[in-house]
Amino acid sequence: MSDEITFQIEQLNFYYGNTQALCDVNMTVLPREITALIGPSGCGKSTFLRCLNRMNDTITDTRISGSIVLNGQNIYAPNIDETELRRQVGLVFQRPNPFPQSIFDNVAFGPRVLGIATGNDLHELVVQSLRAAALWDEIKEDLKQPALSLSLGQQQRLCIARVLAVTPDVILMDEPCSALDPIATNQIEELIQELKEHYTIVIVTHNMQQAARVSDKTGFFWLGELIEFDETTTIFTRPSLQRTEDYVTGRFG
Amino acid sequence: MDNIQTRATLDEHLKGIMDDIIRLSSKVDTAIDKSINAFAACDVELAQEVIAEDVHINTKRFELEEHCLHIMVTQQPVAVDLRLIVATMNIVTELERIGDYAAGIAKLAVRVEMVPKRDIPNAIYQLTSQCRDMLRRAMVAYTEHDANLAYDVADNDDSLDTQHRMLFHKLVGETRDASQSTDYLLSVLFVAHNIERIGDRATNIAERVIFMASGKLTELNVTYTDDK
Repeated sequence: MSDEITFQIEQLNFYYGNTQALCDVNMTVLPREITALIGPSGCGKSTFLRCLNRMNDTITDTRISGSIVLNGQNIYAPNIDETELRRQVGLVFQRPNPFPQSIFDNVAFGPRVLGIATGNDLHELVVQSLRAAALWDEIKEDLKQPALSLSLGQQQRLCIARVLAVTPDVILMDEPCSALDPIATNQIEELIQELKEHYTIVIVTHNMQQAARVSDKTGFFWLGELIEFDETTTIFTRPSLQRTEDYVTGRFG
Repeated sequence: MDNIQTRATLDEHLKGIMDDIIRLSSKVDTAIDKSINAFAACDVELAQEVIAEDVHINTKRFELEEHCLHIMVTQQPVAVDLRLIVATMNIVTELERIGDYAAGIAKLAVRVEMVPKRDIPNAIYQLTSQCRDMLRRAMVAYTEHDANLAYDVADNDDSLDTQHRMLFHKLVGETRDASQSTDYLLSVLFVAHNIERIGDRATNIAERVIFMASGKLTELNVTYTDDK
């Protein structure tokens, strides 16, 4: 593991209008680590995740203070190209959201828009992305079939392939398995472990067993604060704070 | 949310295993007491009772382990709950072994029945009383989630070891006295050894309580049994 830091988040505050959603959050995300964010609904974990690639910028009447430094660069600096940022930091949503196009076109969409590859190179990039997303063997016979004809689990892996096709550094996942059955969930979890070799992953999940299974570090959010952030094993065996223990053991309050 | 008891089923299960293990430790404690009395009085009937009870202790141990596995599978406990269950599974094994030591003493009582009777050394009673006290306090520490009390229990083990060593040398000396029954002295030595081992097991229980209460895995009073 390299000593270099992927994300350095300092004193991060975020507001929806007058409502403060994040309070003084500090976190360090290391390269090729999986960081899980847990906490009750409305605790700020998804808001935090969306700050990491400025997806919250699309919401009106929001404010942010503090800093998020990605590989040495403050992502909220005025000169930042948001499209390039979102190429570097991809987001996989809760529900699979493929475009109503073919499998191939879904994965090729990003590289085409960004001008990353064309022709045979593009074809090769699509194949590689589908392989990396562990979907290739299931769909290789017909890349022209509509993406929406795939099962939900396959669609979610397609969405991951779509993110991989633009060669990101970081993959953000916002409850990526909440719409999936246990088998599809297992496939995504195994995939996350494989992706860890090349990518830094931050995942929001309501499923604490999932956080325990897939992540290296876990952050517990509550009322917009990052209450505790530590090795996942520590969080689930001997958390430092009673509030964390109450939450992970299901005795919140 | 404060008023909703969110893990009532898990809490009920945890209370169940805690109650069961306390009951089991009480059975084991009684077995120690009875085994020493059976040995001292060459009371075969009482010794047979201890040996029969050991079978129940072994069965209870597996039942408790099954219950712990059931909780893990159905409730997916973490943090303090997981530590309680893991500690309980370790402690129940220690209790089962203590039961075996008591049964071992009881079996000796059956065997020495034909040997001429004589009073057993007072030191045996003292050792027994001390190791039973350690066991009881280790189980109180378990019930109370009290790591400090668990550390105290382990501190007592040093004194138990010292007394055992003194008794060992005294008895070995006595075996050189031709007027003493070597069979009987060896039996007393074996009894003393078992009691000392019970103290070690109580210390192991204390270690598990410390893990349960604090999450810290620690080895207390490292002993080298073979050197004793």
